[in-house]
Amino acid sequence: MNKRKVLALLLALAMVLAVFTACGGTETEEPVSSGGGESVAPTIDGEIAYVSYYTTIPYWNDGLRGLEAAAEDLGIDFDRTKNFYGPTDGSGADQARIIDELVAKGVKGIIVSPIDGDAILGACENAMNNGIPVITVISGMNDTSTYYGELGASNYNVGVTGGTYAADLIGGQGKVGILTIPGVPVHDQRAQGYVETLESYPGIEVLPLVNTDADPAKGQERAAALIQANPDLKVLIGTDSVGGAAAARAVKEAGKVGEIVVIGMDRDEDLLGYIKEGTVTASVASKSFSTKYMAMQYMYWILTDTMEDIGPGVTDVANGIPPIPLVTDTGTMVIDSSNVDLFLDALGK
Amino acid sequence: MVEGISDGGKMSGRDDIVNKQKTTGAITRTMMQQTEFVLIILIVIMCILLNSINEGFFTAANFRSMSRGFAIEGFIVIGMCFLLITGVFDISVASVMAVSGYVFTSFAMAGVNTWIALLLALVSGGLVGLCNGLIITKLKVNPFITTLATMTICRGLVLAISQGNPIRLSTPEFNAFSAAEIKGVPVMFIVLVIVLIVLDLMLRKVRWFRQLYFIGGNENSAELTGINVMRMRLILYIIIGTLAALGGALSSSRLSASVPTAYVGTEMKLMVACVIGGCSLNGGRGTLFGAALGLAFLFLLDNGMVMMGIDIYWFQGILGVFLIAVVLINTFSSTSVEKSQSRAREKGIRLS
Repeated sequence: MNKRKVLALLLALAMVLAVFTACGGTETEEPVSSGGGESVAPTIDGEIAYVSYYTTIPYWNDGLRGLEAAAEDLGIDFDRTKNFYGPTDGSGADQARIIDELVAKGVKGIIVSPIDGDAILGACENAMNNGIPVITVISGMNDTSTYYGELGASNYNVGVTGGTYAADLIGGQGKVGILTIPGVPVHDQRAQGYVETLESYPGIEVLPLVNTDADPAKGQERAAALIQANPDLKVLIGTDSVGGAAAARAVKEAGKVGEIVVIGMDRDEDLLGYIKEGTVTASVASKSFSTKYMAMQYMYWILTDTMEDIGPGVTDVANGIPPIPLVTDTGTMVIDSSNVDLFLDALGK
Repeated sequence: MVEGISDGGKMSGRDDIVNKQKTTGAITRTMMQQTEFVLIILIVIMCILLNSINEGFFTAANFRSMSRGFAIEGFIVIGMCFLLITGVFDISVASVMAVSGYVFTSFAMAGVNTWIALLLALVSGGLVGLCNGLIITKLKVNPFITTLATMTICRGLVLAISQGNPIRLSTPEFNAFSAAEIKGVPVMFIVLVIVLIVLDLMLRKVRWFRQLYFIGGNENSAELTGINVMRMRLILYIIIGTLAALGGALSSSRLSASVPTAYVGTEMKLMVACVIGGCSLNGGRGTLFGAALGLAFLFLLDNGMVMMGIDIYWFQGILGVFLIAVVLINTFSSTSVEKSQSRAREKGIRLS
């Protein structure tokens, strides 16, 4: 059937052409040299890559803003459309593979949000051995020789902060439900922080954890079921912004706004809106901007080797002294009705 | 009990064929009735069990919340069931939900009348269905590959346009689509039930719909009897695209937001619901009633596990166990019908 073959070929060709014209400037795999409009040469000759995971969720936007701001202040070439990598799911194997590819490509530095403490150890070690400094953000890894340092809020402490806040609000008495994504270490640690903090109050009962599968629709369904199963539920907590928003919607649909305290996580526009209207009481947000800004600053210090801990004129990196702290705790901020307007205004809404 | 078995008397050639069709039809009908019967029993048992564990289960509020989610996916399961009966399927529905939800929400946000926005969303879904249908029927590409491709393209499109950001909209008109109730029952649930009953009856009685079984049973024979298989499949793909768009729009209305990363895995859930309800991946079997029961079963399972407070890490495993159990029950009941068929044959009763 020649006509059919020709038709199929033309269709395929048309689709491929459409793809190339459509993503002219938005490819994230092959960075195109952007030095065109700048009058000053960048201070770092090469690429600094940022690798995370579940890359399509909006949570990363503030961090990317931080990286770009620091890059601009320091004269580094960094752009989220060119230097942001990572699997669209939570695959550690994919994250490790991407880091290997970046090493092979010859990037100058890698900032990474590790999926867990083990999956990318080999890839990071490989990078460090090839003279490519690795800095982690949000969490560290289980072998501290494979990276220079980690920046982030302790996920466990997120749970402590949020848990204490919630417990105080309900006077230390009542049932608490937690929506989370089991198996993702960041969430497991937050959930653990919440559970252990809340269980220290004798009057509080922590219900079995509920899985949102990182899906807002499923999260809402399961939160609704939890509310129905426990009519005396006092607090609903989300260990991420999806969980927080799902809890808010479920509470709203059940008509229990004001009866059930909702504590969310992070600062998606979605969640901020719910804080503004009063459905969500508070959100524990990491300082993602400053965390990533500092990470870029740290990377700059390492690559330009400008720290002189040994003495004047004697630089650190060249002499085997790590110039940055191993652990930098960047802490969290609580967003509630008293300051939500600041955050909303910042989004331009 | 098999009707229409000839008692060994003299039959002319044409009557043979008519009788065989009647017999096969009767056997298939009995099998399907058993599947639905089994599902109803399972659902009733589950409800009783769950209610005894947690009284929060059998409340109007719980059912109201479940019925909304059920309605959203129920519309799409109709399309999936039709496709499976003809021996094909569509795994792009989840992405179509995301895209159409985004179209619906964007236009509504821009001030367009919500009904017009809905229409535009439905058209967008129908167009994707048209693409799927054309590639599968005219270019004869495998349905799995085709719908896999559209699934990734649509998802990529909505992610690129939205940059991963959900868009939030909460106006009375927008929320009314999913929130509207009559006497405490969500309107979309009522509409779904009516549509299900009407279409299920048509699937059993109306000739155009009966032809779907012939196509699924033996595509070549169906072609030879004059059924335009290509055109029917094309129509079905457009239908499921539109239904997925409806589901996406309703979901956006319920979430007060269009979340571009949502609904992942819905296509699998819908296919599982159809298979539990009696559809076969090879085609030729299944009813809408069965598919709806299968979906209800899955919803109750999910709801029930949260109600029972089952350890989050056991969730997936238990879900899998239940699924195998139901499918085994189905297989067992269909095997027992086949056994009685062969027993009848041994006794010398002519089945043709």
